[in-house]
Amino acid sequence: MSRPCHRVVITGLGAVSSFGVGADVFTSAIRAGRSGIAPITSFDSSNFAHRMAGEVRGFDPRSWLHNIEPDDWGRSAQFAAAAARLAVSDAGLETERLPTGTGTIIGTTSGESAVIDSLVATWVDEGLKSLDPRLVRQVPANQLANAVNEELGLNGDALTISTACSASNYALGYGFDLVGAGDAEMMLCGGADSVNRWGNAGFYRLGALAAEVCRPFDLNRSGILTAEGGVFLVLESMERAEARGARLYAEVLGYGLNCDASHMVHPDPTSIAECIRTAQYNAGVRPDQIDYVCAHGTGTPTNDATEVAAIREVFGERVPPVSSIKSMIGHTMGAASGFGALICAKAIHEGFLPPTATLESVDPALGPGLDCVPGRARAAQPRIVENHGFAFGGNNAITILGRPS
Amino acid sequence: MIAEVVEPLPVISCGLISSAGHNLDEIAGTGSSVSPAPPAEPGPDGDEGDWPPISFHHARLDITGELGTKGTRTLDRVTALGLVACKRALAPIGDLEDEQRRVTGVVLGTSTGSIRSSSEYSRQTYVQAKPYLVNPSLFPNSVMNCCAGQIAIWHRLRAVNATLAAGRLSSLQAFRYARNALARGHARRLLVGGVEELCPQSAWAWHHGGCLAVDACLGEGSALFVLEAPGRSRPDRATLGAIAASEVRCPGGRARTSEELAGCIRRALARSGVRPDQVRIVVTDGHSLPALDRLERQGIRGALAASSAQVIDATAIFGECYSANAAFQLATLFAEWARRGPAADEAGLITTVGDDGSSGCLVVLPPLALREQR
Repeated sequence: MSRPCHRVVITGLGAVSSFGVGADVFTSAIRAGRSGIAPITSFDSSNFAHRMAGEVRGFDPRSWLHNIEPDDWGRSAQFAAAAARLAVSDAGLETERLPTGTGTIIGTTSGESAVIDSLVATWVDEGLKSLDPRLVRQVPANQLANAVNEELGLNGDALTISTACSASNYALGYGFDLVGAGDAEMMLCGGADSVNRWGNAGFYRLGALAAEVCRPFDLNRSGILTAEGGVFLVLESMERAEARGARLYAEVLGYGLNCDASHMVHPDPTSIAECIRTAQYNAGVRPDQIDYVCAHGTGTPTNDATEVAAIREVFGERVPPVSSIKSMIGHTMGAASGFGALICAKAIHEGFLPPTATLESVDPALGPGLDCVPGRARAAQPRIVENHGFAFGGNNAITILGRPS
Repeated sequence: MIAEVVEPLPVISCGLISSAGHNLDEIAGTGSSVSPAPPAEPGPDGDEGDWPPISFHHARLDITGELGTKGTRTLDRVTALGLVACKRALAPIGDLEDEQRRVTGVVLGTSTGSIRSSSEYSRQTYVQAKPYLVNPSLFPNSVMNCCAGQIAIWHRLRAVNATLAAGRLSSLQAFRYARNALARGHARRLLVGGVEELCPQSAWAWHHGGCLAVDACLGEGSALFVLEAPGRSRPDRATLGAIAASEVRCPGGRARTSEELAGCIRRALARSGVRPDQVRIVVTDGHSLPALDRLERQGIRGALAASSAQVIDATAIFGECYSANAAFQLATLFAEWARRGPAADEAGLITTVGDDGSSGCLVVLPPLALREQR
């Protein structure tokens, strides 16, 4: 395998989440163990069985977007473009001076799912002949990446990776490869998704949707809560970042991808363990060097048991602290591992471990000695952290971040 | 930054299902004459329901005949097309050992997955007595990576499994992603290509978009190629050819000029070590969208000047296949080379322009054995 020629660092972070706009707002809320969950307002949920979600509330795109016309873009694209602009600004960069060839790689599960819900409402009431062309144009998932490139005046790659709930880690990994190989000096990598009707219904019918609270690793966990948002990280070569005196949040050490290839929905612990080993090997780290695992931690009985079993298989006796921020923000789908990467970068930079805020008692079936960081964030100095993302289709993607040296 | 010449990536085999044919022999020669648009016909399931007044080229898909009855009852059409193309792509390379399957992955271009499945799933939340009375076993069909996931399951392919959405550039982006994945060791072998289904939802979307040519047809199908990491293939292994460099420009929705495509072509040729006059065949995709067609042809002229290269438009053969266009373009190019044999020193070019403002191209080389004869 070819080794990268450049080390890759994260120099900017942007987020649009249920806690509001900005990476700092997001991080403060995570550290405090707050909840972003509230009753659903983005669609009429009155006849749905479960009606709580981690929605982005009160988001005014015109406050955050300078160049694209919000009415021409769907909700997920607006989240993406706003988060990307925030990340670039956080990196201390002006959009006019981004390197030529800078591009956007974004992960998503359902793209413009809320727009699809609107179009389907028209289909039901009036037929496909009455679809609104303006909304139709917003639907293809590539529009998420295009929104960012257009908002920031970029000409490089604009690519949407739609590998469901691990997609942001795919995006981060691909960006890492491109910057590492010198194909680009800088890439914007992130994820975005919107809360939608059919996700709520589908997860409920799979028995995977919690009623009110998501409790990863808990004895009484009952499933996910759907959620939405947009998140972006600025990746650039370490030489370039250091030369311009940028703040280095973290270094991307490497990543691993694999596919269970066994079931569309149920995860395979052996395959996940292999993905962990691959990620660590590619990052050049050993299990005993991992100080923290930002889990996929959806809060379903199956996922958490599978994920912990896989972790134990790799880490053996020395399992590092493992927590899930989905306890606070719910499952933001394609953006989930992007929010995970953001909080990992902040954790390394500021010195803390994110909590599993809603944990009351660890499920004894997960085995002894599991530290899930209950309640609020814990002061710590993590040097190397592992960020998990698993998805329908058995698409596994794990990124590993380290303290820049 | 001076870019090095890229190493050609061998293409071992191709599997395809389309309206124009089900293997390279069947589609060879179809580019030499553009047939008039067939009359409007019912949708692919013989369903005369809610289709707009557009012409279609639909792929004759016999799911149970091709894939059997086990595990096919709830397959969506996108997934079925992809599975058939995959089966055909893998057939020539023989049975893979389990360890080989562990390092074989999938990279698939599809802009919305099965939009039919996701919108029908959403529809159920409106029309059922309660919105949550949806069918749980159809939920996986509504995620965009369903097809790639099922391909992996059916063939136990456990390396990277990537689904890419890039509009008309989706399959081109799949080749780009695949090159990186092989170079960085995320896989040693990949099934790479694109898939698109005909359905009322996307047909009406095209109708509302208003940019299809009057004589354009919508098509469907899948083309998948087996790619192996450079240096991993046996030197004497038969190949269809190799893919060299690719370049894209994606300015979002901002106005773009033909110069962007011309620039992509020049850079890709330079990074492939190919001179413009070596390009003897160009496979384009603009025929179905007149505004893009002009841009595409100007861009090609801008890069290749007064070239007498053969130009074939794949959308005139297969119909507008959106996410799968570039995959069908590559199939068309290989089919033409297989039919007439590439000339000495010949290279090929695939160009693609997106309705979202993007442009891109891919340089293609004949099989190594022929290159070495020069």
